[in-house]
Amino acid sequence: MPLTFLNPGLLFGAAAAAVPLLLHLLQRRRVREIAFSDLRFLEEVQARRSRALGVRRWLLLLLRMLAILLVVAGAARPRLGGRDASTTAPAALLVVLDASASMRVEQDRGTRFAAALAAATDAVAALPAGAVVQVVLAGPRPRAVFNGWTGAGAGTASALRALAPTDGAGDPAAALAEAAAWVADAPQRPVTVLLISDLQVAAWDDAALAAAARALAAAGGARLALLPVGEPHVAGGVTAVCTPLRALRAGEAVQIEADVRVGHAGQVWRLELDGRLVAEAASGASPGETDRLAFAFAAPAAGLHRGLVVTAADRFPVDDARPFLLEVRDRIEVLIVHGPDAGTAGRGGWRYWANALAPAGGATVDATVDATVDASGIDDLFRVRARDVADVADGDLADADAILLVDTGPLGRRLQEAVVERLERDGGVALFAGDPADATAPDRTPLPALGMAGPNASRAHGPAGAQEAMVVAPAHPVFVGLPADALATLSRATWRRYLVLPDAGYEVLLATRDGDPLLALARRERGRLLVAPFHALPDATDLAHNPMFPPLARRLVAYLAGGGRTVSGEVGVAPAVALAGAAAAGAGANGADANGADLLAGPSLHYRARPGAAAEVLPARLGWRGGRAFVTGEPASRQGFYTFVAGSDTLGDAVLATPAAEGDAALSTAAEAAARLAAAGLPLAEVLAAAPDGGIAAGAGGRELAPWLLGLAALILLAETRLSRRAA
Amino acid sequence: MSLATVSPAEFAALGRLDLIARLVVEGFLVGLHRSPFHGFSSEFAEYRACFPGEPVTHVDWRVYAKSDRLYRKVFSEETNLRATLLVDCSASMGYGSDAARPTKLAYARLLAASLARLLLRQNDAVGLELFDSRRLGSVPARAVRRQLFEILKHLDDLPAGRGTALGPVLHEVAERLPRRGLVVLISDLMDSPAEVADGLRHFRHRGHEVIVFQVLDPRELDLDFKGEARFRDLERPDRTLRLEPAHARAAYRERFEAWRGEVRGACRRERIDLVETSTDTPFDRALLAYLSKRRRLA
Repeated sequence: MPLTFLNPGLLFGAAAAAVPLLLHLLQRRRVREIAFSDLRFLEEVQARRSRALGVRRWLLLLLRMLAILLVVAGAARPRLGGRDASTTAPAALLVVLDASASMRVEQDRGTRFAAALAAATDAVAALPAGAVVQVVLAGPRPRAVFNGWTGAGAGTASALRALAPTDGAGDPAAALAEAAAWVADAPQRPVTVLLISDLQVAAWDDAALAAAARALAAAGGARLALLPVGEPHVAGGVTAVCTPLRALRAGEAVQIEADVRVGHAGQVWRLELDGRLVAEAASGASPGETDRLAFAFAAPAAGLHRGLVVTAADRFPVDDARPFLLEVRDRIEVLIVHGPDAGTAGRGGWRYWANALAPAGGATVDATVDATVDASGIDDLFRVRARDVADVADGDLADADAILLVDTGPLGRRLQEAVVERLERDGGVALFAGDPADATAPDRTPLPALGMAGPNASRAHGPAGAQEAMVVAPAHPVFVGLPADALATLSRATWRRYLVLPDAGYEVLLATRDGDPLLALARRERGRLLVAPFHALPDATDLAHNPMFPPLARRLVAYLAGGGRTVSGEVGVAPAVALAGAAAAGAGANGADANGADLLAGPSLHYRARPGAAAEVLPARLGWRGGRAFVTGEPASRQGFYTFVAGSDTLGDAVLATPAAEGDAALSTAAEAAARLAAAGLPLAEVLAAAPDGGIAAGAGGRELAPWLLGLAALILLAETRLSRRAA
Repeated sequence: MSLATVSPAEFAALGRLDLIARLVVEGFLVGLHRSPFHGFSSEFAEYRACFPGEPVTHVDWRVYAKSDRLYRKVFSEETNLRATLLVDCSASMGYGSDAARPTKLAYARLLAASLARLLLRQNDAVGLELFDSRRLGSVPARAVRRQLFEILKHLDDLPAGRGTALGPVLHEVAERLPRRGLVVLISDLMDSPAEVADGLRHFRHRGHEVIVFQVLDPRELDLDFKGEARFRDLERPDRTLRLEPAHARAAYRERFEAWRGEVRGACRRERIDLVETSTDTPFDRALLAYLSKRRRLA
């Protein structure tokens, strides 16, 4: 096994072992002369002792020299089986520093990030003169700390000390790919890439690692070293907050669920809204287990509320409080786009939906093509507008929180694009099929145009064969909170005619007893698509006469409108809010192009953290898609509440949370990580170990010999002292 | 001046040997009044009338019975003590470990001068023999007034000594002394105890009383040196010894004390008075202590 030294330069101190010998020789020359009366007795004594004295003197000299050599060797910190740092000292060092949220875990001697910083500082300090260094901070979006390769001086050390981890997830593969770009531009060779990370299991992406390996190879190659700094921990936290997916009304009974990881028995979580305690819940799960807690309360007044699910801080405080936004509506704009009416005897099932949503509006239907209906619903929450499909204008869809397409048949190109854009932008669309009696009805649904599988059959039962429904997903936000008898009432509705949707790609909420979907949900991008393969006329179903029909209609539309004007995302992902109302009008009035409107462009467009959170102001960009303006911000590094502003105007709100996986305590071992990196093709040369006091103990895999050497030196000095005394 | 409080160094600082010796003797005689060297080796010389106040130890009661007068016997030694002072002048006697103390030889000179003055004061004959490995000089024993001057002159001009060979010298002096008397040897006795004893025994066989003043230096007793040093033998300048005194001290002391024990034993066997003194002891104290002891015994 090779013998290596962490501080080989100190070996020159071995020359100090010659000091006892020199002193011995000097003393021999400098000894004073004393006249004595008669040496006979001294000669007798000396003759007896001379041999023993001679041996003892040389033994003392050897012991002193050996003790010095052992102390010098110990100070040089030898390792048996390790690697000599001096023989592999890089000309260029690129430190990839894991800056994910999990690096904030408190360990025995500080956070993981503090240990990583100490190791990075140690590695930079150990560079030979003339070496260059670069640091890549591996957070959600890897970034280089320095503008270019820089010398390892005091400025480098102070820049390192100023670094802090993010609240986002780590992406080692992306960081290594970023490192590869810097390796390609390295002014000196060889280059060592030092990856310092807690090796969280959830962070690894084998395919991305392989891509990073290819990038490194293409950059000219580098030597990769791995330094793990993570110690396992068990801590509680909040991994997810599930807000109601439907729009809420003030005073409405609300239930928010939170997924938690239990840190200790009987741990309690609190739900706060706008800084006030609203509900509490305790978990009965064991430490290390996950649990789902429910917080029930009454929805506050209309508006945007900032909430927290929080528990007592522990070793990983980042996930002990998870923010969320709760929007309570005072108005839901509903747009019903319906097919042509042919009088009350023909189609027109859309009116049942309109009346269910706004029964107090006294809406009437004008059969003319240009007829519109405007009505307000109970508590003025739903404002319903109805348009004939032939008369829908581009601006009609703009402010609608939910769009109901009722028996429209194939959509025109522009309307189809508008609907698709709404779906992609977190909009809600409900699609109600036409009359199955129409043989062409299965082929005339706009579902294929929306990228969904269309009906492949139809059903037509006689009165005796009418199908009762069953609620397939009672826990869905559409149904959650409804009592069992309400669901039982809904189940008594019957269907005689409907189209048959395929199972694939849909989440069925309501189905016939035979399993044919009656209400099915699909996700298209961030939007919600509700498909009901029937129309509400009495010859198809008696749903409109079921006492649960109005509540069902309101819940369905509230679910479709649940996207809201807020953004919930993860730290490290670029948040985006759609501009609405005046802001969008202002953005469009100046003929903005894809690069943004003058009104909203420039330094005034940004998004910032709310007061009380970590201060962070980030730039944002105005973009256009599908005729709609939206603002996208650069990825933030801290979780919390953010507000998009343009000058003095507020454009929207966002809440960014730490990815749940960052609280996962599972860490890879060094061997596992090494195997993974090697399997990806990365040139892993060595695995280092963190020294107990911070820094790097080079040549991990070897045995530290310094304690043994210093202990031996102490024993030798003790023996030397005793031998000297005995000689005296 | 109180001799009891004066150190040998201070005495030596007084300078003149005769002055010092006079001070010693007068100090002694103030206390003792009489020489302690009377009454041994008696040889009847004549009768003398007793004076009031004399002790009755030597009153001849037969004469008193016959004549009704008090007469005492006078022995020849009372008025004709013949003392010979032997002063060792070898190189080892020239050793002095501290400038504040006299060398052994200086100490011996003071002793010899004091004894000579004391003896001459009471009309005893005193002679002097100086030697190292051989006889260096001598002053025949006389009781004349000038004798002290001669002795002091020899003591003042002590030659530089060489090696020690006590045994042969003692034998030689023993053969040369014409009559028995008192022999006072002042030396460090740094020689073979057997040879020294043999020489002293020669004196005893010839009827002499022998007193030995062994003069040593304190450092010779305890080897209280600090730090490694190269020691040079005064009597054998070519002989040096490098050692760490601390390492050898214990063994040296043990050996040195064993040697002294041998000397004591030899003197005891020959019934020789041995006075052990060192140069840091006020010499008059050593001298007076011994002389007082003799007086009591006498």
